[in-house]
This record gives sequence, structure tokens and C-alpha cells, in this order.
Amino acid sequence: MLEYKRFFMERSPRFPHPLYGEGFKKLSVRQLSFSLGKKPIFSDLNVEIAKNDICLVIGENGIGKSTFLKLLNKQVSGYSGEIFLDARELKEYSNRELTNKMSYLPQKIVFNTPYTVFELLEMSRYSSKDVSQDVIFEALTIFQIEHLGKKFITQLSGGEMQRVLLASTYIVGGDLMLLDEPFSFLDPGQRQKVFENILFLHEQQKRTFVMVVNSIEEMLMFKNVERLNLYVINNQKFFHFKGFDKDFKKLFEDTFSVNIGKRTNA
Amino acid sequence: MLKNIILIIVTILILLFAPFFGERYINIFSFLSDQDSVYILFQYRIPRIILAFLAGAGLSLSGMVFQSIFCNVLATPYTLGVSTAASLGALLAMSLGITFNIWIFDQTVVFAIFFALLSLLFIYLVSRKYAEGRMSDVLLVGVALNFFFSSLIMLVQFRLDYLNAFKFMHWLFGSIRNVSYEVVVFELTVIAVGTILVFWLRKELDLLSLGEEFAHSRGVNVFYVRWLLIVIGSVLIGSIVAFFGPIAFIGLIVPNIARSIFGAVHKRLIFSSVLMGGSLLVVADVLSRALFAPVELPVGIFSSVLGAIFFCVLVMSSRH
Repeated sequence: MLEYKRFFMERSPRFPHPLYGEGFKKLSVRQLSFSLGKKPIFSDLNVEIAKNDICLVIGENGIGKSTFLKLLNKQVSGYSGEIFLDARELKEYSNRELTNKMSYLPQKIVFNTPYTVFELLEMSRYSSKDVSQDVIFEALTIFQIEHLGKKFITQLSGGEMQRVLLASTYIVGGDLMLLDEPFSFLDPGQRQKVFENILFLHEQQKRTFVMVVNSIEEMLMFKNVERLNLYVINNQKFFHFKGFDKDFKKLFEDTFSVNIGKRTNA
Repeated sequence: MLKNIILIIVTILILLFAPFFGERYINIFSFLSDQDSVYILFQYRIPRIILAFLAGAGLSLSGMVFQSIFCNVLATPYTLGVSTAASLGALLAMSLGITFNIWIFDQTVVFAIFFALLSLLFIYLVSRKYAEGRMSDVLLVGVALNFFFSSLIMLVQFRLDYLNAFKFMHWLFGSIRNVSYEVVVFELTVIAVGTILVFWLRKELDLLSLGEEFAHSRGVNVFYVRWLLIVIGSVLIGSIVAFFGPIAFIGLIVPNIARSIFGAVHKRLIFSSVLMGGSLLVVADVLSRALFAPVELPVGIFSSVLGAIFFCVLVMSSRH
């Protein structure tokens, strides 16, 4: 279908939505290569993400952690290789269809427009046809931000903002949640709260997570979580580990030239 | 809700009473018995008031659209140099003396729209490719464009004879002239269609004003929506500037005031901007005629003075 035709169709009130009602099952990246300008970011990448996985993406700054999430969210194009989301190639989804499968939390975002928290959450349902506000109240409860509903998003503290954004991401609806540095700029207490929110969604709602994490502390919070997958980016490749085992420790210490010592012992 | 009703009532009152004021006050209660007054009222004042309202509405609507697609309250047609570009286009069409029509658009409007579109595309590409969302850079490019097109306007004026140069200078101040019912029909069509299209895209505008990345991840087809809005904005600006010149700062002041009163959600913001912008320009136009009567000040000078002060206040308050 021509893309502009699809755009106008999707804007029509009679457009059936959700089109692909079933939630996320599996995402597979095959032989993906990608470069920004002349700088190669990934070469020959192979990743499989299944439902209810928790994937942590780890790597040095500027090595392409955020780019990986943006590739999965179709925000960056021009890659070679395949990204298969359930039965179809990622490129075939429109942005609106994509929200059925996945939701995305951008990295340290600064808002200038003075919406209230409630308005922000309401507009996050852009792609949803459901007119009831139940999901908004549900999100307010899960992320414990009921008291913020009428506050302006330009006046929130870092931790409040992060939970509001998580709620907004939750409301979008896709089972696969791509979170770009969800723990940055949070103090330990707030970080713990956000962690518990994520754990709740993982265990109770069987959601799938792909997260960029930046510090050892953030990583180690997840050490007892089930279905944990660790991806270390090094040399344009992904190295996959199922937990904090010896091989992971060695690679991690080589990559970052730090000693994580006995902290990984569960 | 109460605020909406007050706004609508005030707008209606302004539109009802504005035609009676001007260089000469027309008595509201006995104007029907005076043939001159009836003539002035219907041939001159009423179309002028309608045009002032439409121009104000269109300018503030396009200002709002620009602020949302560039995610910044200072990004408006005037500050980004788009109105100046449109003026250059209109000036070229007028001084070259060519005539053609595309549908309802005559040569001046077509040139103005084309130049507005061109400058807007340039700014948009710069903001995407090089500034990577750093809004200060985009605004600086706008300032540079403003200078660039202003100097080209001066060049064109320099090549003209005195009579034409003076005529165009008056137009460049920005004022509601060219009053006729033909122009009213034209502006009404363009601005009504523009408002409907922008209202149709209100939810996309909500999300776009939070950034391209955010809008994309919530399911907006950013590519098409942005281009549509850029074209709508250019057509609005082009068809207003071609007739009334670059009336400054209405597009900056009104959406910001509307946002602080009615909230930032576009469903409400569109209507409040349109009504407030229209009313404001009607009042400014009446004042510009009445204050120094029988001399008529160009309303553009009026709005520039107000707007420049407002601009400074906005810059200083946005630091916090």
C-alpha cells in the first residue's frame, strides 16, 4: 500500500483499529548492519527477543545503545539485514500499527509545552481507539502518580517526570517496552520505585523489556530477575549472556576496564 | 467552559461595535437615516473589520502551528523570517508586473506562498540535519534569513522609482488595506480551510509539540503530518502577507496568551488563538485609525511595538 494512502486511511474515524490485535510475541534481528554517516555502528547483528524477556543493553557511551532501540522502534531507517516483528518485517508496519506491539521511552527528554500530566497521558493514547479513560487511571495507580494529575509537566522533578513518562509509555499499550536509560538522573529511592514498577509489569502483565542501562548498580538490581538477558555491545557486535556468569564478568571487565569483583555473586 | 463563553461573547461584541469607530465615529442609533454613514459602513468599514479579523486569526493560527512543529514558543512566522520571505515574493510579483492565476490564487499570493514555503523548508532542513533539535540554532538561522530577505527587499526597492517605492513601503509596514468583498471571500476561504485542516490534525499537533521522537513513538506519522503543516502554514502566511504586508508579532503574542489562559491542548488552543488573534487585530486596527485621526497609522507599526515588548518579556521569563 502506498504510504500516503495509509496515512489518510489511518486518520479516518472508520479505520479499524487495532489492525493486528495480537500482542507482541517475538522479535528477531538477523544480520543487521547499520552505520551513521561513515561510522559503522553495528555489523552482522543477530538478536532474538521473546515474550516476557528482560533484556539489558550495556556498552560504552556513544557505541549505539540508543540507536539500537531506535532501530527497533523504526525511528532510524537505512539499515541492511532484517528485523522481523512477529510475522512481518518491521518496515511494513505503520507507526500506528507499531504501537500495538511496542512502546518506547525516550532518553532524558525535556518538554517545553505546559501540558498537565493528565493531558500528556491522554494524548499518549493517540493510537488507541478505546475511548474510556480507564487505562489512564490504571497507569496513575501503578506508577503512584495520582497526586500529580493536575501538575504541569514542565514543573516536575526528575523522578516524577520519569514515572510520568513510564506511565505514558505504558498507556501506549505495546507489550514490548523499549526503555532508553529509565534510571538516569534518579536518586536511589526513586530508582528503586521505578525498578519495582518495571518488575510489576514484567511479572503481573508478562510484558517484555529492552532497556539501556548505564551503571553497574542499575544492572545489578536485575540480578535475581527471571528470563534475564544481558547484551554487551563491543566492536559493533552484541554479546549475549543469560545471567551474571563468569564469561559475562570477564567481558564486562575487559570492555569497561573496571573490576566488578564479587558484587555479581547472586 | 466559562472562559470559552466569555471569549466568544467578547469576540462578538468587538465585531459588532468595531465598525462604528474609526476616523469618524458613526452614531450607532441613527446611522440608518444617514446615507453617507450607511455607505461608509457597508462599503468600507465592515469589510475592513472582517479582513482585520481574518488576518489576525490566520496569523495567530500559523504562529501556533509553527510553535508546535518547532517545539518552541519563540518560533513564529515573523521570528523565523518566513513572513519576510513571503513579502519578498509578493514584492517581486508586484514589481515584475506579471499576471496569472492558479485557481483562486493570483500571482502575488502564489509568489508569497512559494517564498514562504522555500524559507520554511530551508529552516526545517537545517533544524533536522544540522541543529539536531537545538532550538537556539534554528532561531538564529531564522534571524539570518530575516536579514537576508530584508536586504533583498531593500535591493528590489532600490531599483524601483520613487512612486512605487513609496507605495510598497507603506505595504511593507503592514496594514489592512485593499478592502473589498472579493478579498474578503478569498481570505475567508483560505483561513476557514486552514483552520479546519489544522483542527483535523489537532492530536498530532499535541504530540508534535513534545518532539518528533515522542510523537513518532506514540504512533504519529511524523513525516506526513509535518509536511502537511508546513504547507498549510506557508499558504496561510503567503495569502495574508500578499494583501496586508508582514504584520508583525500577532503570531507570537496571541498563541502564548491563549496557551496560558486556555491550556496547551490544541483542541482548545486552536479556537482560542483564532478568536483572540482576530479580535486583537480588529482592536489594533480601529485604534490605529482612531488615535491619530485623520492620519491613519499602519497597524503593523502598532503590533510591532507591542510585540517587541512582549518578545523581550517572553525571552526573559523562559529562562526560568
